[in-house]
Amino acid sequence: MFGIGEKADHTVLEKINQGDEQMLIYMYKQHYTMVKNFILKNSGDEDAVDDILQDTVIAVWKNANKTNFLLRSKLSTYIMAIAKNLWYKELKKKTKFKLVDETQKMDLGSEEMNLNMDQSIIIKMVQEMDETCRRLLSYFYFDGFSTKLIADKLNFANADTVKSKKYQCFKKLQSSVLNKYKKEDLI
Amino acid sequence: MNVDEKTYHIINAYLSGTLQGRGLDKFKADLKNNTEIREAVAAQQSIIQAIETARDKELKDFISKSTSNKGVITISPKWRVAMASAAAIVLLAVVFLKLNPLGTNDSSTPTEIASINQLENAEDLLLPIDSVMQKDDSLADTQTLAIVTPQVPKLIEEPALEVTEDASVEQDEEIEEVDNDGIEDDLNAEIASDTVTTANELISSTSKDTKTDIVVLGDKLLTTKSYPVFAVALDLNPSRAESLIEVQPEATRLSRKERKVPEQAEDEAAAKAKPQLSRAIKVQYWNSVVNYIGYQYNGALLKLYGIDQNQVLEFKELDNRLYVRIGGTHFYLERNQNHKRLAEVSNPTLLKVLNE
Repeated sequence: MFGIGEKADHTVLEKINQGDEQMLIYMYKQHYTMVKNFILKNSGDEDAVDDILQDTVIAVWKNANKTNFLLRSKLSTYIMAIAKNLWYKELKKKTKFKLVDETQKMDLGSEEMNLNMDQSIIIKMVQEMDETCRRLLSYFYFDGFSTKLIADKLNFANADTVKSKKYQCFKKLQSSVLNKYKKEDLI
Repeated sequence: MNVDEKTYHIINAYLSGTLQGRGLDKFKADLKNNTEIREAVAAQQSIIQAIETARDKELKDFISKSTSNKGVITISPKWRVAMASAAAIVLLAVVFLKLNPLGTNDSSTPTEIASINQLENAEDLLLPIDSVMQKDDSLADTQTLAIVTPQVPKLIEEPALEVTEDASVEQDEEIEEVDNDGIEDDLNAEIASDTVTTANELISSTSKDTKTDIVVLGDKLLTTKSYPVFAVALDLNPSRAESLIEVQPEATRLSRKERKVPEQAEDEAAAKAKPQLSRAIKVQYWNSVVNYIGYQYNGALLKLYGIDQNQVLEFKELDNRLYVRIGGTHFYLERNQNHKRLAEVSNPTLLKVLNE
């Protein structure tokens, strides 16, 4: 790849753990050709390549930030494995042979729960939150950053401050949502 | 649905799967019995889901923006190696073609043509005007013969690449050794030692001029010498004469009666066979660019390739055929316009005559 030299896997993971979002771009560019070749050979197109690769690098990003994450293979192998799984899932959806995961049914966050509410409106509310709250909640719930890292990134005094600030931000968002919807809509 | 901070953290721990043990059991019991907690969990989960979706979208937008420049070409390491190899091969091919041009035709650059012309002029000085050799012969050097390198044992020593004045002195001594009669004066006059020096100066000046350009390697003229040629005239009986001319084993199968020559007749023949100085031959020693060992002979000029210039040569002519003795071995020289290998004389009868 032009412009970006190859980095060692542990360097990439370290940077991900530091919340360096440029690693998403690095992984994307580094594995684009590989994933593209695979998808194009397996009834996919260029658009599918973009979608799958974006999902892949984001999955790697989230997994790498989990406390019990341990990379047992080359990063490229791991990325390729995720991309393949995502693409096979996508193919299954397309061919309408979707396997129903029973555990998903049991999950409280199933789609059935949100039938009465428009998720996009809540998303919009999240996007309209003040920058600090939005980033705090995103870092905690999505990225899986530790409270210490969040404190560093958002210039909070310590992890406890992050905890209490997180509660405040969440409550604020919940109030906004409840103002919009009845509580039954959320169940 | 007012949830205090503690409950909020417990719900978080439950949803993230980090709530364990008694805490988990207690919470599950509460979840079963308390509708408010159930609502709180559902609401919290919906909001977390929205936060995750928003963040996912945000990151995807970030990736899309950063990689939207389709001009960025991603090349896998395999392709990088392949491209580097291809470039190296092309480079080597270009260098090879520059060093070993296929000819002096259209592919030659003006610089190359100029240097070749200068080399041609240098050779004009070496060769007499009445030389039978064609000019182009010097250009068609032994590079084309690189594939075939004949095995002539112990003839080659490291040839001096540059002819110095010492070499010219050696030439004079050489001529003095081989001279028999008064011809040597004429022969010495023909030795182009000065000419060789001049030619080499020219060549070296040419190479200096073209130092910055690509140098095309070619055969190098080391020195020119003249040698006397002795004619061996035999008046033998037909069977012996035949055996000398025909280098065939049939001659050896002639009956003893036929081959038997009276002693008196042999003596007379031997007397007549005494070599007579017939003419002089000009010999050029060349250093082949591809270490070719052979010769080129047109009747007046003999070009020797890969032969040590310090070797003593002896030329004999028998029945209009020229033989040269190099280091105790006789070779047959054939008139030709092409490069030839040195063919060793193997006929014992002929060898006997040549050795006499």
